[in-house]
Amino acid sequence: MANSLPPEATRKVVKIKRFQISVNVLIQTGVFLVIVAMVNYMSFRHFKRWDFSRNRKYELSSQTKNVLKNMKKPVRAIIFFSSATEIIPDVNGLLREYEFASNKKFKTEVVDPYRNLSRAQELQTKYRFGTNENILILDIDGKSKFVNAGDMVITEEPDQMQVMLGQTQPRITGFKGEQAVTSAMMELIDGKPNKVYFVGGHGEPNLESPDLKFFNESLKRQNIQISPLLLLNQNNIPEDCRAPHHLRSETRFLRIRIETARRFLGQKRPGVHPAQSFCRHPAALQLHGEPGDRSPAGSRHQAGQFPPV
Amino acid sequence: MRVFSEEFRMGTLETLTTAPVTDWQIVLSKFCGVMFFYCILWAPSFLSFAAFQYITGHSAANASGAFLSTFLLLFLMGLFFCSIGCFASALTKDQIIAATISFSLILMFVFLPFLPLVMNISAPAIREIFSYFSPAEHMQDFSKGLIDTRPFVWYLSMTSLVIFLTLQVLQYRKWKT
Repeated sequence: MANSLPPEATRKVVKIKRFQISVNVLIQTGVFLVIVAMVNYMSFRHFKRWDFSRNRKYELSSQTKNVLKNMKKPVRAIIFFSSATEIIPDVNGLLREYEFASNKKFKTEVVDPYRNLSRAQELQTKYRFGTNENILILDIDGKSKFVNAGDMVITEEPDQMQVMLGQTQPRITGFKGEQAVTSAMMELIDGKPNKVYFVGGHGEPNLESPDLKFFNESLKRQNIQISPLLLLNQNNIPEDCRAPHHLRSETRFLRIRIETARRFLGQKRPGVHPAQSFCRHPAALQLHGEPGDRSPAGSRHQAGQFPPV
Repeated sequence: MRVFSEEFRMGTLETLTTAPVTDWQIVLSKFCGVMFFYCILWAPSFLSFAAFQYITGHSAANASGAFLSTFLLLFLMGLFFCSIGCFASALTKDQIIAATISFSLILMFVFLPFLPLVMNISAPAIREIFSYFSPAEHMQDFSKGLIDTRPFVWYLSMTSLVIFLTLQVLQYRKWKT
């Protein structure tokens, strides 16, 4: 049929046919692209991971999975490590697993202070920490907590032979990042800030004094609130107290105050660790039947040497 | 590189298309041939493990999960990169140009995910998107024995897309001549 048409008409028919084929190919390609994009979007949102490593060493513990699953507010983790930090791959890998297990509620940001100076300075101003620190910042709804690189590793002091060979730094023998990060997260999720009371009224230094500025800053950035506690005015240690401490008392504790402390030690409050908080207190020594060291120098609780709350 | 370009240069594509096979079958069989060659290239790496085992007396593939998942990812990446090779070959008669196109495309896919790192973009959402198609991050996971469904979907879907495009290019060139 086409052969019987004049050349002009044949050219027109061929042109129309070619146009139809081109449109057909374009539509096919477009549909294929859309399908590929949709499949990838679904895969990006819904995925599965399996750990086939030896001893399933990258799998998160059931406790961590539960914490991540039950999170109501999003958590932002900022890895503020210099590139020379030995545990960077471990921390990155661990937090990636947190991200995958949290259903998009756990977000990680990696900041190298030497490469991304402006962001590093912004973070240092916001969270108040030093330039040389290797820390992981956990932020939930404006409340933050720091996990130091040192808290995530198990170290071993070099023996004499190693010191002779020139190895003076402690050697990293294990990684306990999951334990450190999950416990820090649990404290943040818990909502209630940790409140530490400092026993006063016995010549202890003022909490606001410049000598204790660094110590106060350290507590605040760990999301710990501090408050003075005058046992003279009250018979009981406040309900919200997670741990009472004292700093260098000048005078002896009265019997009645020791009784108050004894009651506190006998109570079972969630999250309170009296053994850690009060055990080195002269009052506690008296409670346990030991003579309390009354000299200011004798108190082992100097500023900055507190056990973890 | 010579998969299609040599056929165009020698003019043997016409002979091939006269055989009772569809264009789909031509493209897929060419692709399977390339994949077979790719797998053969990886075979000597198994000899390294065997040599290690023979020399030391210890099992080289002790962490079998990590060992197998690494080879699985290499296979998946091979599917995608070989399909790019076929596509580039279908675009031109010159195998050098085909090689240049395919290397450029593959390098783009390998290095593009490093863009946030180079540009110091630390936003988690952007990092997450780029890590979705980052071969380096896929290898990081699979070499540890962590198998994820996302690289499977990414490489298989992209392979099918590139093979589809190769078919379209082949048909275009066939009808053009």
